[in-house]
Amino acid sequence: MATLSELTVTEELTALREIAADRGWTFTVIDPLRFLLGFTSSDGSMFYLLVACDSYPVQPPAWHWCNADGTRTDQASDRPKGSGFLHQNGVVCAPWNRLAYKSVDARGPHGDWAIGDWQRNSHTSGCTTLPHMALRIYVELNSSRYHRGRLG
Amino acid sequence: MENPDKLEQIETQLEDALVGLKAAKAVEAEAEHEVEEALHELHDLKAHEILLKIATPKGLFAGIFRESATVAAVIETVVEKKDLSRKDTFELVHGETVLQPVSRTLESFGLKRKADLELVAQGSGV
Repeated sequence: MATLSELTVTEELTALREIAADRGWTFTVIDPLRFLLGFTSSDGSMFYLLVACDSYPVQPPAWHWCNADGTRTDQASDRPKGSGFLHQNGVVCAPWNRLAYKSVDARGPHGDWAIGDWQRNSHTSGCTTLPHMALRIYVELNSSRYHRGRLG
Repeated sequence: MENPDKLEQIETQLEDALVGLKAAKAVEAEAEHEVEEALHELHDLKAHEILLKIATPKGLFAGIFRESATVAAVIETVVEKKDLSRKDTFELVHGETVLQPVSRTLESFGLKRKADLELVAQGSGV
């Protein structure tokens, strides 16, 4: 029987699949709780994320920067150079990314956020679904906060 | 008589080239279809109208607006049509440009005829 996480992910991926097809993003479902997404940034380079959604939506998903086929995660050469949201620690800095929590990942910039409150965190600001999170990352990769290049 | 190994090599190269050509033709046909579709859509537009394709948290929205429409009016329409939460404040983004303030018109941002935009909740980045 499908879990709550699997049902939620399946439902939300419908909208994400539609956007990805229209915008030329790469999109691959790996299993019911993981998918791979690739975006073009403002300088034309591609960035990829492996998204793990176990315990979602009780906990936020984990957005790992990775290589094109998702076999290598969290390497500096796969992470965009940026500021703020595109944090220099190499994680997406937002309450809706599990890796932003110091309690989960040592690189997480926030020891002050409670992971169980991620949907109520003021910085989440309505960004509570997978397509919304993906859109936000795409927007950031095409904004001035992306410093054109990679961390390594 | 040619060297059989060389002939085989040439045949393989030829086969590879044909596969490449086939793939290129498929890409070309797809691109032609997209252009044709876009031209068709543009043909239907009246003067001073713009076709917006907006990626939203609930999927794609496509609609025709006056170029003189305000950004606020566009956001209002999309929020209503896609049944997005009215508790959130949304912003429209075009490439590197956040379309702010929302009281400005589409044409004041240089948008004409056709544009792809993103709709995201304001402040959802840290």
